[in-house]
Amino acid sequence: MTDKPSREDIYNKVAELTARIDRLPTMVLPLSVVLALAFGYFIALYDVIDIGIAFSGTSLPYTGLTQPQASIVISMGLFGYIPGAILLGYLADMEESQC
Amino acid sequence: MFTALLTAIGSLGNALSFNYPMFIIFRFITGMGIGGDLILVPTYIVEMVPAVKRGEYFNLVYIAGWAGLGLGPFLASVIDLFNPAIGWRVIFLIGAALAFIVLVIRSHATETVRMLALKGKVDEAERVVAQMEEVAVQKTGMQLPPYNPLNYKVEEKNPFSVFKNRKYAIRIITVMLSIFFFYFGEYPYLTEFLLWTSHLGLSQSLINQLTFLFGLAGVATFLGAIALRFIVEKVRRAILTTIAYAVGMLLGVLISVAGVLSLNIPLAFGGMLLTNFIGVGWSNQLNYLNGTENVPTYARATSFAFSDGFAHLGAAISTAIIFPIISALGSFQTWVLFQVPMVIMGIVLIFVLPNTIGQSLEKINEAEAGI
Repeated sequence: MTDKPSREDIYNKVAELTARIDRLPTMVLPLSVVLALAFGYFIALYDVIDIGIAFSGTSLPYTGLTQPQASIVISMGLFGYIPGAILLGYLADMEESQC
Repeated sequence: MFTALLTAIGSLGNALSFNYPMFIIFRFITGMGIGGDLILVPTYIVEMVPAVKRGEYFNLVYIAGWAGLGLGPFLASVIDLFNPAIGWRVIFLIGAALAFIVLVIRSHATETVRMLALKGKVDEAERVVAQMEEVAVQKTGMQLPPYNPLNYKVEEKNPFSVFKNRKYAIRIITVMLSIFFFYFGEYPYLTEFLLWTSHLGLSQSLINQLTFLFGLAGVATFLGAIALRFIVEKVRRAILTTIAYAVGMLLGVLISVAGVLSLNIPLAFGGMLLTNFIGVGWSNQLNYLNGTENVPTYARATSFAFSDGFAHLGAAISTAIIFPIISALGSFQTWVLFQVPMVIMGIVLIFVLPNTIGQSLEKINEAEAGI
């Protein structure tokens, strides 16, 4: 890139590109991207549910936790979502607006 | 990238945990990673997929992703029953290993076109879109329709300023509350249902049977996600959301709990299937669509992060308080009561959210509600 485009050029370009993607009649993302997204979801959601089985009546006695303790551990994991989601989501938007 | 790293470290730590504080700390770290991932993946999709295909494509990635929520518990329950003493560590280890694999795959994924262009990499963004157009022409064999960039205003704004627009503020807060109460009911079911059954004085063989059936019912989540694909673009999202909350969660959990309490295991299993198929399989996807479609592009990640992030507070609270409340009110009443608020919020959504089916995001948002 020889000339750095002006901010307005960039905005116009983004509007154009967004419009062009939106009118496409079919989906065209490469398979690798779909796989990366899907697999990320797979693991995130596996990690959501795994604790429900790990702390079942079948194996809870072996973790050394009591029922109230187990429910606090589960709850703390969910508390972690909040800083995780807000911090990382905000970072994603901010990264985009810093040219 | 970072999200997968957190998830991996957290799960690895949990696998090796031997005391209560370790469990708490590592589960918190895992939670941060999951929270980030759950936000960024939908954002990526809504920005990179054409308007007509958004719901459908979103659903496609979900189906693959939701295998984690469907096949995951099944796999985990089999491992757990095979060797309860070590099984729970293996369950966490698998989570860590898979997250490390995601780390590797993600390093090859491209940024969204919008992100590329805003960073000044206009040529690269242009190339990506040109390629998408080419593929689209090849795939469909037809001329591309014209496009109109005039409706698409892009401005540099702090994403948090979206809350200054009353329309968006109302949408975001209503969606947030609906997800809040959905998680309030869903997470205790997902993560503590088995914990609850283990303290009812049931025989160990019955407990193990329930662990297995709960895992098996998880597969219905996967099937439910596929089923949603066929109706997601036909019925208004807010109406579908309400149906999923009422039939899937409220009715499903009610039947599951009634089944366990009356020792009617087939009934309990039927309830679990219903909860997973419609309640878990549909509601989550609809929540993500509601959270990402109804806000302007510049604030999409932030506002959805706000909705989904705060909503998890509902889960954090309900999972911590459900057992004391069960002691006070009784099992059946508590489980059912926890599912009711989400249904009310689903009905509110019908009045607040616009119809988004087949609409371009910019028309629903920037063009109609402003910036």
